Amino acid sequence: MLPSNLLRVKRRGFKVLPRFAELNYENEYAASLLIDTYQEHVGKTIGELEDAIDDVEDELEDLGYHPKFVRGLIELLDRLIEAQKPETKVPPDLARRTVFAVSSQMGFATTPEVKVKVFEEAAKRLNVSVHDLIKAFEASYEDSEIIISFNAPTPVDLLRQYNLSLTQTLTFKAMSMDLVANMTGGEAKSILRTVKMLGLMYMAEKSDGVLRLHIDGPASLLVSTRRYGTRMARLIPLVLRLRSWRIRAEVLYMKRRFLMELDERFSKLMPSKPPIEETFDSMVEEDFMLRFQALGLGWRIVREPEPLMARGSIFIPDFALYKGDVKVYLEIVGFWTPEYIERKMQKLLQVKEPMIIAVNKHMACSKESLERLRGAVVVFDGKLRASDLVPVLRRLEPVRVEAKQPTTPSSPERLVETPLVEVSLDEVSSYLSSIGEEPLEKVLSELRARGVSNEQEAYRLIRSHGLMVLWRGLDPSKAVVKRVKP
Amino acid sequence: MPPPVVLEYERGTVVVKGFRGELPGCKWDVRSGCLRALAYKYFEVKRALEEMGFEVIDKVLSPIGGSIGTPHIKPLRSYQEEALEEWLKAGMRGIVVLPTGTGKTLIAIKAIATLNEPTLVVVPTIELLEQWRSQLAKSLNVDVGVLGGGEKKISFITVSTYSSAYMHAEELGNKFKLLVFDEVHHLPSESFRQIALLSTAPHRLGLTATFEREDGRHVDLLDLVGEVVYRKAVYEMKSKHLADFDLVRVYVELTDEEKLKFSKLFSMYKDFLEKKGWKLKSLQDFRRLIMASGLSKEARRALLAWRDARLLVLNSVSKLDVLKDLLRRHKGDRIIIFTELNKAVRRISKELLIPEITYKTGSKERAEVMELFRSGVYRAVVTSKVLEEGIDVPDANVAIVLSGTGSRRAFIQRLGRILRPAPGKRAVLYEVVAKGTPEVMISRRRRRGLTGG
Repeated sequence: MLPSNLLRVKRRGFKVLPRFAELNYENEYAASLLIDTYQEHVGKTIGELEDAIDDVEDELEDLGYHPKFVRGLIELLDRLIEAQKPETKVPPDLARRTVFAVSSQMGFATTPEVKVKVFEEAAKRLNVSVHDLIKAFEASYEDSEIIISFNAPTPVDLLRQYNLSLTQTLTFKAMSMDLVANMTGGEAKSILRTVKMLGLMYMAEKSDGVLRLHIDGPASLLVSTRRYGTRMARLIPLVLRLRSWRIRAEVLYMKRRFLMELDERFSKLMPSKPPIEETFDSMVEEDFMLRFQALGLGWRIVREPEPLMARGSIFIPDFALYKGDVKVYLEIVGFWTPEYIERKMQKLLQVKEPMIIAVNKHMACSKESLERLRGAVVVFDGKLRASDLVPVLRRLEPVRVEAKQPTTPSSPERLVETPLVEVSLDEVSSYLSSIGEEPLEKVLSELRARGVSNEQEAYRLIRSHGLMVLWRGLDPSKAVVKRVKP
Repeated sequence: MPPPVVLEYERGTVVVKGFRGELPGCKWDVRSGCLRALAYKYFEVKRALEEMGFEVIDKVLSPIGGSIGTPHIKPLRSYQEEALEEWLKAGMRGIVVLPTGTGKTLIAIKAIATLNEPTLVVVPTIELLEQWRSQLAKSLNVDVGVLGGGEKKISFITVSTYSSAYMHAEELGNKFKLLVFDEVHHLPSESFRQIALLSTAPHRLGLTATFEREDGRHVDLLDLVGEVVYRKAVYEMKSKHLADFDLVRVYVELTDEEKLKFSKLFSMYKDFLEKKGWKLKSLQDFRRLIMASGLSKEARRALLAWRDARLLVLNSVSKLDVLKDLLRRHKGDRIIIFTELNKAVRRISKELLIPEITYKTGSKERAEVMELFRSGVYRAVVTSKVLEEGIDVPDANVAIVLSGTGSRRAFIQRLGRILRPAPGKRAVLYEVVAKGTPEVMISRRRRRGLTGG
């Protein structure tokens, strides 16, 4: 980020863009000239560096570089040096205080003779030589600090950093920002976590798998304000880590509104950052995933698969489970504060996708909200075991189990294929075809009456007739069978 | 009976849960599915709901607990008393306009003591921050919180700079009941106004010597703080409570060499303006030039020429000679030297061995210099713009202005600083102007501000 007086933009109509420094030979020349100057001044004073930089600045300006560009690079380089007060016989602060006090008493150094006397008297008071006193006095001015190290970037890296800083500086003036991107669940989580941490708000939309986040702050609804611009600028480095992205920010610049539109094509001008790493939120999840995979149920498990919509806000389930063309999300709700659980429940209630919700038995949550949940609910005690899911997954098994799939009967939790029993398929079919919506218990008993005694088989038949079992809580008496396909 | 409506505070705004309809200052927020208003509309919103007969569960305020101690406050002068009374009558809202040096701080302290509520005092500079902190601590007998200059401690009585209060507005918004804005003319700027907008505080006091802003935005203060409840002008006050002062202008001649250099540089600048058809009549024109300098090389050269010309005049040998003369003449006095460019400040500091304060001076060092100046160990300070407003230097009786911006407000306030009443003392203000340079014009404009014309 740069001071706003160093901002350079390109304007066309109502559009504005940072005036990026291209990564070409000319700009690399300017960058390397400055970097070299800093490098040469390690061990010298800030004042000396400033004088040298002034000269380089003039030289670059004469060559036609824009002064704000040059100043911007200097600004960034200044942050890479470390300076220290020089060693002196007496502390510079003390020397300064003494010199000024003596000078005040003597009516100030209005002539060179008085000046000498002031230094002599001050030196006497501090019991040092005049030379050492003057050295300490000079050291009290900040430009006498000595540069002890310079963390030199490469010219290209400096230019990239400049471009990022420039973009952030323009974003300072943003009133709102739209981020359109293809994100994994992990990426969305990381961005939304930052949005929240910064005290910003968002509205989400999703179409064709592309997520659009409209980002601003609480007060943006009521006043147009650039208050949140500095915070939005902090999102930019995160955005740069996405593979494909587009930003559209509404910017108030020189008292006029502009649109700043950037996309992944600009990433190459800016520092390259590794993609957002997926980190596990908690041990519970990591542990669960490993165990689930070890079970070998034939279900594929993917962590934080993708952001789901929950009426304008976003919900990122912990896992997605795939088998054949069946896909179900799994959310593990651990032991948290009641407020956290309530918020989570509110979101879960808005999600339309099929969902298994694993809840901690000791969770601080009202029974009512649990019962209102759409998906299948699995209650676990302390730690969720992969085997806890087996009964629910059985119900969700795809209709046709692929013949090639090997069975490994050694695992006790392994789903055992039940053989088809003799039933009157016609009767079953005609009954099932007539259902619009019926309680699960009723359907099961009707099927038993028609010879389907195996529950697993009953679920399979229900699904194969375009019906779906909707679970409302754990209690089967609340579940219904509903038509999804004619 | 309808279900109760819940009011909550959220980062500078108030959200209304369990009600959908018209409410003052409220808008429907789809992001959170509720009505939302800026915090300063909180009381209006609550009143409207109660008038409609709703039960309101109010979770908005989170005031800082505490109380002031036994106050030790100097008795108010009659006009201070009047000002306080008018403010109380106006519902503890509004602005007091009084010249610098007339004890606005005392009015505010008395107001704070009268209300004894969690209070946030907002001031423009670090110096004022220090000054208010010590005065509040002394007169109200409390531990005073500070926000700004690298400190962050929020207490029952807290002093903050405008910048820090803006930055932390969301966090401060529901913690105070009284806001005091020192130099309230700063408040209407696009960002600073949010300190007022994002706060629920019902009671607000604004203080200033110069209510009117050049951009006309002072009218917004009505909504943000309240109306002007009390106002007295300079000429009414001068004979009563301000120290008498003399204004002395000293003309200096540039050396021949300086003159030649100056006219070369100045004509470079003037030619550019003439080519563009601009007149350097106001600050506006000047800003335009600065803006243009970012766009064309020619404009930048013109600006640089103007800067060099100015530095040449400021650093002119004859000016420095005059300064030396004045220092000799005022041995034993307390002197503040103003000059505009930091380079010029540094030069005077190093050459004459006078402590300096610039925007680069750290707050600790700054406090030390001011303290030693107050206690008389230092008899002079040279400074750039940082002392622009209301800094309390009670014993300074000589000011030497080596340059100025030509802004009226700045000049009045600079003057005010040495006009603190001190028995039997005449203050002197010297303005050192180079003859035959454009500075003469700026100085004339400045003095107009003094007489109110």
